[in-house]
Amino acid sequence: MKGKLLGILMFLSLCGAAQVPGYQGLKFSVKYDLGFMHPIFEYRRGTLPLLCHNFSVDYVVSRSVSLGIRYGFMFYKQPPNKLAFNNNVGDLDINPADYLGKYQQHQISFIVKRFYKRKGFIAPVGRYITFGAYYQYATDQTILNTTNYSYPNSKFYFQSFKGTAHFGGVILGIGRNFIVANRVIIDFGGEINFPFAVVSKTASLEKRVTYRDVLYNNLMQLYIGVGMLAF
Amino acid sequence: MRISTLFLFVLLALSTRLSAQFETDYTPVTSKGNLPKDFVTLSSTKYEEARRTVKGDKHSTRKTKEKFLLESSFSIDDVLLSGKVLFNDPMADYVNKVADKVLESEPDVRRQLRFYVYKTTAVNAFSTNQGVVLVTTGLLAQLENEAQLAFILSHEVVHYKEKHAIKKYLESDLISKGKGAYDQLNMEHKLLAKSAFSKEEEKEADEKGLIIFLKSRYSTANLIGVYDVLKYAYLPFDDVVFDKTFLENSTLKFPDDYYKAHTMAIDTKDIEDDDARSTHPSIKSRRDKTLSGIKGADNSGKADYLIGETEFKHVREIARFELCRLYTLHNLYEPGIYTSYMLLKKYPNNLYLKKNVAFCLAGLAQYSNETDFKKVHFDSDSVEGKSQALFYLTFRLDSVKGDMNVVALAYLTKLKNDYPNDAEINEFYKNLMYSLVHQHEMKYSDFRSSAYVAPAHVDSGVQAKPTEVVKAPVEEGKSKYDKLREQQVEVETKKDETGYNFSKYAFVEYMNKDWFKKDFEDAEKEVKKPKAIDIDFVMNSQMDRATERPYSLGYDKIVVVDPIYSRINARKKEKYKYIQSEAGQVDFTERLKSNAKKAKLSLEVLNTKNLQANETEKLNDLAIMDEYITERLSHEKYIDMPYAERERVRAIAKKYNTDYFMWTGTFSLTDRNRWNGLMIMYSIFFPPVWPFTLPALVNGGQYTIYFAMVYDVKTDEVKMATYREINNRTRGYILNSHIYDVFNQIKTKSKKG
Repeated sequence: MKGKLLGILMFLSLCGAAQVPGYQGLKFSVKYDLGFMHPIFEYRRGTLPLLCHNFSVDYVVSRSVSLGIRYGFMFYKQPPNKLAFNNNVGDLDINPADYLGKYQQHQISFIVKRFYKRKGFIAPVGRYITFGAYYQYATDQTILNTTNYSYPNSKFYFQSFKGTAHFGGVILGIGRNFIVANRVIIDFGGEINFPFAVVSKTASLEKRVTYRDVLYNNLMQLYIGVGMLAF
Repeated sequence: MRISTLFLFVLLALSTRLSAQFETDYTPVTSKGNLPKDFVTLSSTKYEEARRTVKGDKHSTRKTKEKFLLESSFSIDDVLLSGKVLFNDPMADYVNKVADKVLESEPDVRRQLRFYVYKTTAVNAFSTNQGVVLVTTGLLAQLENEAQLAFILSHEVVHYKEKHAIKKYLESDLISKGKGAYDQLNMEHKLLAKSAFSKEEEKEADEKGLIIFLKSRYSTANLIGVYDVLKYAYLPFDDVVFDKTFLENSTLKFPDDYYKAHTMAIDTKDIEDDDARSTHPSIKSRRDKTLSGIKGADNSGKADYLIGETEFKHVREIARFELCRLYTLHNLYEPGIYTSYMLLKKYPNNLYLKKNVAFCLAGLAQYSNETDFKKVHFDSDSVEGKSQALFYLTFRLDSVKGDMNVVALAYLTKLKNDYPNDAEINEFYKNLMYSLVHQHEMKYSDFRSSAYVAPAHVDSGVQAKPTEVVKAPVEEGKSKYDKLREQQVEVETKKDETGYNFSKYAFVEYMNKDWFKKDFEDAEKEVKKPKAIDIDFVMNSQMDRATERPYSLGYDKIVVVDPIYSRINARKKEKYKYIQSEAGQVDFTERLKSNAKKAKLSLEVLNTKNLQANETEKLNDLAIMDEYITERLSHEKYIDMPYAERERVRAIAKKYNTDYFMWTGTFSLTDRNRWNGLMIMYSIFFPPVWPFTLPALVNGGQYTIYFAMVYDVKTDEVKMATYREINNRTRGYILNSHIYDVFNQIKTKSKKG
């Protein structure tokens, strides 16, 4: 694995121009970003953003370009899912002990950062724009114990379900970073995702709910990160 | 009797030894010993120390005083650390000795003052609020005796004692602001008021300076001539007939009309007191005032020389020798030739002077070759004195393309013949030979190998006019332009057809010498490569970052000369931030060192900040390299001119073990934001952006400019020139990023070789 990684890095370094400075010669960086996504659909969680944990490695390949791979993970507990009930129920006062809602998302992205050479920045320092492509896998799970609830007019669509979704997409973003103590990278920026997935019209409600959750959760991300220039 | 004989013998020996210094060659003076405290203390520290003395004034006065102290502390240090200020050299030592004599009666004042010599052609002396007194080489070169120097120093001492500099600054501030007695003054009257105040100070310095002088043991007998020194400061240090034959040789003779036998007389009229706008009183009034002050002065036991006439003359001679090269390095070639000419009359075997004449001639030739002669030529009609003949001669030589090149090359050929192993002479000689062959397309065969024999009816030096039957020219069918073109061809060919053309006979003595013929052939074969980088092109094109291609120089070591860091806030009244700039310069230097280490590039920095007392050599080296780059950049890119002090530069290159020297710097600039209007509009129509636009509007536009230029001092080639505008506040990590990038390009060797 290590050999493969080195092989990839060597290839990437050859792709770049002859003069690839990096920051004081440091071209490879590791970084953790905390992503904030707006809970467009999950309004019952209040205004708290969804948090995504991104781990990335970047390698400077030219004086204005760095390439990177990012793994992102998001997990949160869902509030009672309204769609689990029919629309006449209104707000339900559900005991949390009777309800389990889980959302998990894994994302792998390939990212190209182009630094604003025209503004005078040299990779990996300064302002940049991001282009990328990603693959996403998410699971959306709801389990409700209905035995304690009797609503004469209510209808439970389902008591439990587990949906999965696969998305691909394109990332566009802007950001900037700065370096402290000659090693530590502080990074912040924002991204817009353009997801792409194929869901059949005849797909089950559970499946469609899952795809919808994933779609809305990932439209936009703001992030702040900390990293380190490794070598 | 025996003691006095011995004394005379010692004096004679000393005098002989001193004059022997100039007989065959001359080495420009440099500072020696340890750096004085003035040179090693940071300007900000000096300012803080001076600021603590400002107490008890009104707030506004205190602020103005602080501003003065800030500006003066930094600007004086700029001069002191320019490398042009000499200490512990014969000139500065002498000036200090004279100062000791002048201030014998005021030891406290003497202790407060430091006297240095400033290498410049200007005839001046000035003192600062901080107690630094600078006497220029231009002044030392012109003085008649030691007493005159003593009087000038007395004058400067008064400026210091009376705190004239700060008083003038405060008064100018009041006048500019129209405060106090200057209320209601218009611009014209404000200007006059400033001049009047300045003149009052000068008068006071003359009067009180005379009191100090009279207290000393210097005689007033030959003092008054000091005003002539000031009056005729614009003239060379002497006025001697310029011998036409100076630039001729046995076969190269200029036509008689090239020589101005009757030169413009020097205007000796005294200007009366129409000095309303001048900062100094008129020379006449000053002279009269001093004359009345010294009237009846008792000169018994006093003398013109207390240190000694021999030492005075020796120091003056050094100053005059220094002037020669200063003129050359500042592209003042004609004054350079004339000054050298005057000294050559006294020291006919001095190589330094001969070389200086050659360098100046080469400079004139190269500018003449490029039809840019006016840039280095003084209008001969406006030159007073006997030196006018030289200015007129060069003017005439420039009038025929190539003649100046031939004359300069003839002079250099003689020097090469006499000093075949001198590298600088050879470099200039080859340079002019190349220009002759390639620019003027002249071949070896174009020059005569025997002296001109004038036809019987023609005097030497006068163009022959062959008898011919004058026919009416055929003009039918010719346009005006055809006729003019014919006329032009006729003028160009006339000399050869009709008689003596001096340029053809410039090398008769050397035509039969093998080396000369070979040099001609070599020049014909030589094809000069275009200079590696055209600076202007790089500077402009690299504004567009996308077009920049990285360099791969493959150098292991460079020397950075005097790195610059300037903090400028264009939105403030006081735009230049002195203290931040100095701190930034220290920090920038450290960044250069740390990034060089990371790029594995060996680096030395010749820096003027944080100098240690034992780093005098470093300051001397820096001065030579700064002079080098100033001279190099003073020429237009199409002027191919070797450097006059190549050997000194080479010695430094050898000392630091590299030929590559870098000039680099950073400007940290705050200016009005370029997009203010747009941001305001946007914010009005879309208020949520206020959190972003408001800080931008308040902070203004922040820009960082970083530049670096690497010179190969062996070949005078610019090996790298980069200019970078970064749209960001000057942050350490941004500077590191760029400095490393540049060093990486210097260090990395191109795979193509």
